[in-house]
Amino acid sequence: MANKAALLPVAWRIFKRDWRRKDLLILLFSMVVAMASISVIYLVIDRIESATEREVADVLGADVVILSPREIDSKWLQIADDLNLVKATSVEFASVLFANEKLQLSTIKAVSDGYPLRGRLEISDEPYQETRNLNTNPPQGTLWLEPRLFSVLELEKGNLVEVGYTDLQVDGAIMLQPGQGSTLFNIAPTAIINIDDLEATKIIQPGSRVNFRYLFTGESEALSEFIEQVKPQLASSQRVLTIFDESPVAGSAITRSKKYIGLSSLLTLILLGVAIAMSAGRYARRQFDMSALMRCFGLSNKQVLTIFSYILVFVCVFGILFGGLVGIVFQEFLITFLSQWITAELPKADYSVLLIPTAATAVLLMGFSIPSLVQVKNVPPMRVLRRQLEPMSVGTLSIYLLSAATLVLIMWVQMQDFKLLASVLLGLVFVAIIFACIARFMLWLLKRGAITRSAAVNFSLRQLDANKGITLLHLLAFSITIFVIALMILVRTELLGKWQQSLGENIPNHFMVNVKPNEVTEIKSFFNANQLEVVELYPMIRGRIVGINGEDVKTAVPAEGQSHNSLRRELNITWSTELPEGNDMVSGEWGWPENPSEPLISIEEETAIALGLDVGDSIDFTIGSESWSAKIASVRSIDWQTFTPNFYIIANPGALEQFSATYISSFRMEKSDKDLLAQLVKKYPSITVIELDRIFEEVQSIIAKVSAAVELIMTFVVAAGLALLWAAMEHTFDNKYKQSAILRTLGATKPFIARSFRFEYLWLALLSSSMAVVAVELITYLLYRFIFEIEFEFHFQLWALLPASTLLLMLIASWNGVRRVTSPSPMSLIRPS
Amino acid sequence: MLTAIKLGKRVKTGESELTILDDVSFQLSKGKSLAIIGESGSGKTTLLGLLAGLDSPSSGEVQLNGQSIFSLSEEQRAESRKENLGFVFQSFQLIEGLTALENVMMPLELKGDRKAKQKATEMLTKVGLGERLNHYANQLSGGEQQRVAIARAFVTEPALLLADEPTGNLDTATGKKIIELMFSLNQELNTTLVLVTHDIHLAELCDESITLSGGKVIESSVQMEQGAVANG
Repeated sequence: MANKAALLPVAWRIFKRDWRRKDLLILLFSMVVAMASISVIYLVIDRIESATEREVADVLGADVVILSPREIDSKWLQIADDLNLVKATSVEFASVLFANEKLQLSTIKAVSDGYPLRGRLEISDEPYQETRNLNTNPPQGTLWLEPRLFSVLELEKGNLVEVGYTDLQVDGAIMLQPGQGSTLFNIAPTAIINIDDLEATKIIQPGSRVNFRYLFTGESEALSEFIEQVKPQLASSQRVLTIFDESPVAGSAITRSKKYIGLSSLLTLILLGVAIAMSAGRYARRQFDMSALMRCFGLSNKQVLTIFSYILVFVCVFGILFGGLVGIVFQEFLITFLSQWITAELPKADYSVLLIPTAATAVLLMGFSIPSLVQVKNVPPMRVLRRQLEPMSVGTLSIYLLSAATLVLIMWVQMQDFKLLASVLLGLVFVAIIFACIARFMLWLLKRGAITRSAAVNFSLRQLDANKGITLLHLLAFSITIFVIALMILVRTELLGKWQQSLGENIPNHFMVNVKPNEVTEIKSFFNANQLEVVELYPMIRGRIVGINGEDVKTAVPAEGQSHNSLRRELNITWSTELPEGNDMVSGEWGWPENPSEPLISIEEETAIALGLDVGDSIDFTIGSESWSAKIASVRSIDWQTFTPNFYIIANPGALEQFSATYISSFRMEKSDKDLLAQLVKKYPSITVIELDRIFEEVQSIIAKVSAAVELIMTFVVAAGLALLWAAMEHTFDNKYKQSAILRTLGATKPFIARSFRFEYLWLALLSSSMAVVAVELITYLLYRFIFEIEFEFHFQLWALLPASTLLLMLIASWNGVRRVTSPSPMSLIRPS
Repeated sequence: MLTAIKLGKRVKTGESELTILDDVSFQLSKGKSLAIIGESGSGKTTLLGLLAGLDSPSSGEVQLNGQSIFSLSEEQRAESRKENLGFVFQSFQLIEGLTALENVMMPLELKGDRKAKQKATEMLTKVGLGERLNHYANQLSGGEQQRVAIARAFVTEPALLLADEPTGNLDTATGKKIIELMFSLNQELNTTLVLVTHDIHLAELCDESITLSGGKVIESSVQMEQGAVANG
């Protein structure tokens, strides 16, 4: 008996032959796309994602922050040490700074060595002058101050400032600090001191109101474990902050891009799986004679299986080598050509991660081609004498189970997202069933249309109906492929558009807070005089929720709402007659009755849900030292991604007249106009200007990165779709080959046959693209609504574009194929060899 | 020696049973040739498939050199084909995409023969294709393709050669040459030859013949030894 090694050269010879005959081309192409796409996910996209997350972490100053009103349990710090996390601490409290016989209430941050762990501080000698980047705390005995403190306290670099019981020397102005985006509404300007000077200030005494920020960085797995261990032990006043809490725009861009990449990878794998199954099936059918012959040569079916398994291994090895190479070339391309904006800060490529794509690609090939392989093994040897003998087909259920198991295995390795997998698979099955029903009906309808004056048209219509099973299979393959490609291109375009829109040309990039009521008119004039557009100046009062419907908040709010952010801090309250931009009514109506009998408010939706509030409930606030109650007249949703002032609570005008408010606004200022900032702060020393343009630059860079990741993965979705289209197209040609020869023996001319075949592709293109359009509209609606959470609109351009481009694509793809299948002489029927 | 003992093949078609082959027996000595003659549908191809062990009979048995091939497992039967059998088909069944030489090397390689190339070259030279070793099947004429098939069948020096209408796809002159070639190799290598054919003239060249009709032997020149039948 020939041992397995003796079969290897035979397998190699058949593999070489099939390579030459291009029988394995689609299978190999699918493998290359599979390997390349998974490699790119591991080599590039993962790195872009981690670089992006690191960049967002720069904004936060750390990967994870624990906020606490008191020192945290030392055991938690021990856990961090055990997990090799790097730590830093920032102790924050309010205190009055004295200098030049002036005083100002400030937020003091006493920071330890290593602060900030991520990102940087930008410090300049004088406000709005040239900055230097630092990632360290101020030297002992010195402090850094926000620009406003320079003007209020009339300071220069080198002056002394009294902080509690000690004097510290001014070392510079804080122009950018981590967490700046989230500290917009800190009315008190910030001073940063060295934590070693804290004791000397003697400010913190038992009972002092202090916020501790514990900063941590480290490996992502260690961080996850740290959060997992600490989170259950948090008191209601303590919170864990991650990057997603800190920068909603970048956070949501990353979250959506991750969802998109997850969805794209999954669809790529499914398309490739089907393409592999289809091309392996086609390959197997073309090997039936070979298999029968091998059995006549004396090989057992196990040995035949061994030979074809070897061939599959060769395909696998070549696919992995070429695909890996494509992945590496992609990564090199990015490094070389896009390093300016993408890869400058990417972690180094680790080629050992290619082991995972290698395994995943191999599993994908085996999982989707084993049913075909089994068929080759089962070819009855009598086929050499009777060609019509076919192998028993493998149980359909077992094929589906094997394929599904393969996908589950790969998804588990790649993203561990079974929910996404289950919903996409079920969605596709649902779409396939609907498609099949519509297609059957359309075929029935088309057959009735076969009464035109063109014999080729009539013939093509009858052919579609005559081979109903095959036509349905092709229609399903084409329509699902077109559907997936169109869907992913569309979602990508709208995601990118949405991100660009969120960073649009004219959106405000500066916030201005702490404007006194008597300065409002003057400041408007200042902006008008300098041709700067300022968003409405909103009055702002800060109040704390203490009761609901007259009951103490501690008992009135359900347990799950007790830890909500709105109860832990003072909320921003304003009054307005106009509904601010980015606000939408959820319940109740916007607007105020004239002279209401009691104060009315509109509350933000998520706060209302968390606290179990609805229209008609009343809320008790403490504002300063006074109490104030108001009745909820409406509930609003807020788009937090608009860079304009947003308020949890909006009251009717006049409801808060007994309280003194400061005003807040946002405006857009280009870099070239920055001199005006110094003038503004000098003229109105009490106001604080927060430069969001620095944060915008960060966010823009982040979005550029996630966009690149999204573009990259989409390339592979399209490639996978083309692989499947190609496989389906070849499948159609196989059937047409014999049909063409028969028609020629019956006297049909080559042009007639070619024309009728092309008409068939025309009907297939129109039918499949129409079904795809309907499915795209339906699925995008569901995706936008429930996954990406963006607004849905009909895509009317698709209704013309998709059928036209599908038709063009199919005509181009079938052109050569139709020529190929119409060229053989009818003799091929008589003499198959 | 090849022996068929009361071979029968029946298939179920719905409720009824169709008899394709019924009670076929014969015995053929080593080096002899046998023609199986009959109309289309008479059971010739089924009989050939059973003799090769490619199909299983409903009754009866086939012995090759005294060994009942249907008492063997599927794997053992395959092994027996590899060691003892050669095939020539009406439609040549050359492996597309492989050269003439590679086609002939194939059964030798499957046996793990290290001299596959040398033996295949010699055999192809013997059948007159020494100059066309590296031609692909589609570059050869019908007669040449059948020569390659014959070379492939004889290259392993099988004990039994089964040929299914070997001249069915060839013109008369080419067919004659092919038959001459096959018989000369048959004699040279002392191979037992079983030939399925419509052609009465071709059948006359064989040492023995049986004629089938409706799955039954209606005429036979081969005798069944009593002992063999009794044992069966």
